[in-house]
Amino acid sequence: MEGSSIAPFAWFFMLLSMGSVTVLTAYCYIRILSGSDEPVESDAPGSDVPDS
Amino acid sequence: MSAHTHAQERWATRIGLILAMAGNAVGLGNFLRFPVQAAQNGGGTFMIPYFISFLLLGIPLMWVEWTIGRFGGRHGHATIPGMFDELGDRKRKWAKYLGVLGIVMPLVVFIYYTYVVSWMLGFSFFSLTGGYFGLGEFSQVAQYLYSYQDVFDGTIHGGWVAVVFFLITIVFLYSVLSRGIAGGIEKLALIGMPILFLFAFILMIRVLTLPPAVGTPAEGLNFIWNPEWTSLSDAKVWLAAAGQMFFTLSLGMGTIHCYSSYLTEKDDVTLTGLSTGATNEFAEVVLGGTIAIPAAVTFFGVAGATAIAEGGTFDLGIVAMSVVFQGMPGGQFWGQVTGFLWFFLLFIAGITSSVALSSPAIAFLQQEYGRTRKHAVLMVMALAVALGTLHLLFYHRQFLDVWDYWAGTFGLVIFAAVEIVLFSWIFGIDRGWKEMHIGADLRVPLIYKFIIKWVTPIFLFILLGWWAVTEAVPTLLMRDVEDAPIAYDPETIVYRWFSRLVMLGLLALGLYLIHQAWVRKAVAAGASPAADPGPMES
Repeated sequence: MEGSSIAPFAWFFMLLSMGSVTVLTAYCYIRILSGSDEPVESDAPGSDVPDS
Repeated sequence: MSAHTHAQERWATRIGLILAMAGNAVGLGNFLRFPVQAAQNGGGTFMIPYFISFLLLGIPLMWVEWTIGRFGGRHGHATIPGMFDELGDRKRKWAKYLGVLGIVMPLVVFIYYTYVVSWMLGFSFFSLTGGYFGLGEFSQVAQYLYSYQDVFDGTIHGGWVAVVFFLITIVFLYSVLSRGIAGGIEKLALIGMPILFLFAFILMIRVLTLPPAVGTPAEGLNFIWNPEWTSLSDAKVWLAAAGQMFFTLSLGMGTIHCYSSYLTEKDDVTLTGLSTGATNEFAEVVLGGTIAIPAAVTFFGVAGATAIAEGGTFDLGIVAMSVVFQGMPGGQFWGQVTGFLWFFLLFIAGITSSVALSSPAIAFLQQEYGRTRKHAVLMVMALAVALGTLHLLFYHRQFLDVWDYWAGTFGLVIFAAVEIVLFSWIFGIDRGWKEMHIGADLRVPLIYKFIIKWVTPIFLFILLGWWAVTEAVPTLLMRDVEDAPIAYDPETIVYRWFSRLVMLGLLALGLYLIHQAWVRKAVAAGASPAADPGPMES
């Protein structure tokens, strides 16, 4: 592949876009596969409705 | 909590659920529509409104739909009419009728989308058998596709060829769907999605290592990603990005709700929902952006690829790619293999979405009319064959275009606007926020409470208003306007009206079935008070 055909800003947007979705995907799967998280309480910040 | 009247079926594994949801979202649009949209709407700068739409529209709606689905499932509903009825505390009788959108729209899309998906199966077969090899020119391959699509055109394919692939696709869907959630849909996702990603990676590497021809793969990437800064001030670009977000995440359909109704009440929806959204974005941005356009630019040059992209996604994804495979280094054998990988990848992407699109109608028949799963699947498949035949007969008469616009484009935004108002304002954002965090593995940032209540609805109503003025009204009136979603053709007007009437007939049938279902419930509750689960719990 001839890298010189890609303009600097095209590189920037491509790497930033691809990088961000890759990091987000990896973050999600690592958290899911590690399975170490305790569920957060349903009474999350902002939940001002009492349990019935 | 009310009895689980429907939720005897469950997802077997969390990864199976994520892949099934990702299969719902990852479709033809990820590989065909996204790169064209990006290239036509500012290149790299398109990603600015795209990611803003992801954060303000895509992710919030995703969480809302997952939450509504699980909430509905807990109250014995797998489809939107029952879920909307619960969101309205059963006091707002109109809410369940709005839910008709969540049954009929996915059904309408399912019917024509499955027909299109069957083309991919057909072209997988033609790739393996070398059917289109030897047709070197773009126009010749276009004629090959046109003949396949037109059952009355026997110049290249017999009219029965498209029928056979459509029926094979329907039989395959029946065999998957009739096996149920864990035994059918989840297994398909567990097998199909890894194959999809494997094929996509192989194709990405193959395309990026192609030797220079008229252009180079790098020029293709530059074509997609090079920014046009002035596009940021163009409202159309922002709306195109928001629209793409809807299509790609399968929002406003009723399918996410249906799948998440099979969760248990303590299953997480925040991290799992985000994971499916992220998986879809990875498939779209990383894989979808590096296959079709770079390949087309390599073989046709930037000017040629631009002209092809303007001809539509099928010109790019089927015709241009079929020409590309014929010119692949390594001879015809490798061209055929690569062609098979591409079209079968699209078939998998499409079939997993088809499975999801049919699920609300199947669940509705099971739940509200007491049909067995196999019987309900059979009924929906029979309807798909009956109405799919109209698409087979009238594809080149714009019959499909009408359904695609009203159900598959404009309808999504209407549905999403209804659901966000019901969730944030009628059910209440406080209750909704609490519901979302039951069993949550990810604490959603508090700012999203404000976004879901204010920003997403406003964003949606701007999108809806803009589309209504610029597209929906001219399309409704069948005016000859530039850039209309359905190209103006006076010769097809009868078919377009027929298409609309069939769709309206389905909508009327849906409303009738919802009404009858609730009458039956009222009768059952009157005969046996214990049958009425009573007001919902909060």
